[in-house]
Amino acid sequence: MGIRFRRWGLAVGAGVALAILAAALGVWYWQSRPSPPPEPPLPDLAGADQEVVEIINLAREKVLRAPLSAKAWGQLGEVLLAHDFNREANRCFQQAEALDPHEPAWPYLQGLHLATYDPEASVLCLERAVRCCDERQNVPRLLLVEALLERNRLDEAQSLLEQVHSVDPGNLRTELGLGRLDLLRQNWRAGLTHLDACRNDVHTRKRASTLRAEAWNQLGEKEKARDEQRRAAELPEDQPWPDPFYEKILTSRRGLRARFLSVDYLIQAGRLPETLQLLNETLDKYPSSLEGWMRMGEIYHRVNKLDRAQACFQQAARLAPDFAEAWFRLGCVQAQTHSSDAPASFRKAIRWKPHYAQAHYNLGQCLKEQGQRDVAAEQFREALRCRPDYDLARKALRELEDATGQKR
Amino acid sequence: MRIAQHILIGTILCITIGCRPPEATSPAQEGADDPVWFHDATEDVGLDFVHEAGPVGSYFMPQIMGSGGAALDFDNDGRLDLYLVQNGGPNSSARNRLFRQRTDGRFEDVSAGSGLDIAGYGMGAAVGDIDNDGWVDVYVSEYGGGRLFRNRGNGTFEDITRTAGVAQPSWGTSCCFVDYDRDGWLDLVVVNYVDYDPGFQCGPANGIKDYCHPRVFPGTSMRLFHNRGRDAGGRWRGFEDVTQSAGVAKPGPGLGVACADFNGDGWPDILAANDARPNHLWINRKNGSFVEEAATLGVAYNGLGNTASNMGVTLGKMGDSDGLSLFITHLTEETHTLWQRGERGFFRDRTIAAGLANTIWRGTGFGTILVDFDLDGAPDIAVVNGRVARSRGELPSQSGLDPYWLPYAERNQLFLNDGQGRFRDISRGNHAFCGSFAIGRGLIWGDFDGDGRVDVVATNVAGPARFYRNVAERRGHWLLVRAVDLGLHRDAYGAVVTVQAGTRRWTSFVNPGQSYLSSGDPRAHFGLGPAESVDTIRIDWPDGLAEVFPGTKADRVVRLERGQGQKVKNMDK
Repeated sequence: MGIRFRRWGLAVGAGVALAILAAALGVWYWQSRPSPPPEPPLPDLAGADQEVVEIINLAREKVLRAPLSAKAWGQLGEVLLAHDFNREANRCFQQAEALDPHEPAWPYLQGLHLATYDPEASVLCLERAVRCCDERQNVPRLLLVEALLERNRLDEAQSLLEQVHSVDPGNLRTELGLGRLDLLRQNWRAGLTHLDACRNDVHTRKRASTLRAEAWNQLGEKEKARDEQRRAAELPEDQPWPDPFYEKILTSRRGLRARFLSVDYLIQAGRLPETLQLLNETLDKYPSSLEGWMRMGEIYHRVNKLDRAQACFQQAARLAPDFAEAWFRLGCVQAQTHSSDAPASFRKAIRWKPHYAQAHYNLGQCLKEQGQRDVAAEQFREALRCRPDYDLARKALRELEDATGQKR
Repeated sequence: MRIAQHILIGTILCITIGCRPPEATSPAQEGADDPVWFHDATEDVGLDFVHEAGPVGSYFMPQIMGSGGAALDFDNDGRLDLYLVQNGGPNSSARNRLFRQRTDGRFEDVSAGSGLDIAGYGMGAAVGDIDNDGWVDVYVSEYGGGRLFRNRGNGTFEDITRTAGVAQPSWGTSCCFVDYDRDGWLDLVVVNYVDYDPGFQCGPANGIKDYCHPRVFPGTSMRLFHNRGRDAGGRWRGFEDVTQSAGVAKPGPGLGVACADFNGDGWPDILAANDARPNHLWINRKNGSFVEEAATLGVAYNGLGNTASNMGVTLGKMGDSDGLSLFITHLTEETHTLWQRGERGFFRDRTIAAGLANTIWRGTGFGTILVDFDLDGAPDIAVVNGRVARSRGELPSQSGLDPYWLPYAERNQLFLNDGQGRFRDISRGNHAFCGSFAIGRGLIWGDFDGDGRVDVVATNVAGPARFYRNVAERRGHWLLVRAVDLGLHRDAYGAVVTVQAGTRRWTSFVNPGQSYLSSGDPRAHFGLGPAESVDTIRIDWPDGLAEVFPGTKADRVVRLERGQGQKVKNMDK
């Protein structure tokens, strides 16, 4: 009886245990089963440009049609990132990375976004991106170097820099990184050597000079430090590094803002006919764009098509009668054509922006031409009151005072 | 049966405990080792100020730059009072408010009828006795100018902007008083921001509106107003605008300001922190004019050679033999930067070495102060944060914030100095000061309750000002030095105070004009660590005289008057 009971008990116990185990396995499977892809994110598009809404919806539909496509998720992320919906873009890149863990773009773009507010998380993403990169894909590697230098992880940064240097010895971003690394380790002379290579490149020259100045300071070479600092102060800001991942994203930009960015690019490249064509198309699509009319006016003014420039600024002033800048620009064109309307336009600019130094100055010049010297002098004084560093106004006032024999 | 029980229990244990993945550290445990420094005493002290930013939706740029305020003893009762600035515009019902500190430590609103209860696009405040009559006066910077108020000595103030010659049309931000020409009269520095035009519409690539970036507009020059002192008949003559003649007319856009001797020649220089442009450091040429040397001295750019968005400024000395330290707050995507003056007079970016690049979270910093909060003998750092453009990262889930302002809200930061010049981020453990999301701007500091520990008041865009009482465990002794020039009837702004205890030495400044849009306690504060007394107190007065005063026991406020100490030879530097 006792033995039978024990056997029976053993069997029941084992059965219950098996049942629990089976249930646990079921729960485990349920929890760890591949979950269906999440719904693609939809940012709050209130106030967004219609063209932007359209391209986002299009990319989103592609994800809905192919929810297991890393490419579709990545492209949606790129479109979202291109239009500054970074939060939602990041979710897409995470999903794209989960579906295709070998593509460096997805963790790289996450890292790029996170760098602005969560550098620790950004470094993790960049490390994953670097693991996916082949030896020629150095952009993620060098961005990671810069993040590591900021985190004082100097040995890891050095190792990556050496890797890049071995395959691309002329890379100036590497030289700048090595220079910074040396300075952080207080190896001033070695740093100077690396930074010297970066002194003339548009991507590195200002930073290289600033860093070289510090190295010379630390070495007690005051004059050399001053020379470098003076040079750095005169140089424009360094241009951003070429970034194939991010540049691809910029091509998907749409909407008014994107059009203006293209306008900026075309102007910089000196391609004025194309600029005008793009602006014309933009104003056809967005006829109430104040910025569009202002930009068009500026281009016509620049190429000396004053009638057209005047028409553009007049249209801008009609669209926004309290926009001082439109009246000011209109006044500038009118002054150039010796129109008697110019002073009135400058006065309107001053009405909406009473401390507009250039408007006061230009009004002063108009009044001076009309022989109203006292009133003109007042305008020059007002310009100087608004902007004590306004040398043109000071000179004009001095000339007027010399001519009239007055001094106030 | 027992076997069956064992199998059963084993299986259940395995399922419930053994097979579960290890738990992550709970947020409650994070920061558990951090010392707690502040208690939110806003309600305890009766401070009921809510910042009015004006109507939302037009993205009027001055509203996102916020407003600050000042700690001041306007009634000479020995207690610090508070003045807080509003930004709702000239037609707003929200007015700047003056709070008098009562004997019980609570603040009572004495704004009505004080003359300081003005409405406008208010930004910052500077406090100083402009006419040397023994009563502190107040300058309020504004979008579209600023206003100067003379303290009548009876709890009321008189607007003397026009007659005093300090009217200016630019967008004034941080401001402070300094006697730059050592004539005994406090001069006024007003940093100006950009030549803003509200007609410009800005925003990111998606076309949704946001506040403009400062680079959209040209920067404007700071203003320097020279105090003309009294005439032969004893009448105070006001100020004259010497911006041009003093050589400081150079466009900013400026947000922060601090005056101190940056090059070690004993004369006050002016540092203007510029937003998205290199800083300006105006070196005093000792003849009423200045020369700009930020790049030469190494504070124009950060250590990586980048131009940063410079906002709030604070100064201090880290250790006995260290040079002047300068800390400037920056954007979330940058790091706040700590420079230190080296042996050869050049400043070096020590942010990385000091552990300040590796913070637990980041923020767009504005108000900041370098002060020894826990009295261990090493100055610590407090920063208030809040964005200027909508966050593209994850938004805080904190309730109670207006959805319009939520994407701009961030958390503050606290950094503990370990005494070796390295800082530890203790923000996580300081929920009162750092735990809530807000759009922090001004940071006013002072020992409001006389316990030797420095308290702070934070001002927030479209939110309540918060009074944080310092409740840090005392890790040492303290001393507060009030340096007074009786001949001038006022605190000796610009004085450098050095105390010595055994082989250790600490230096602090009589310098209320730091942080962002704020003015703080004019007394020099010292955390002394284990030193129970100091052997000597040396004061380098702003006019160049150096005096040594006898030592004193710690844990007290001492008032030292110019001329009462033993004169020491001050080497001409």
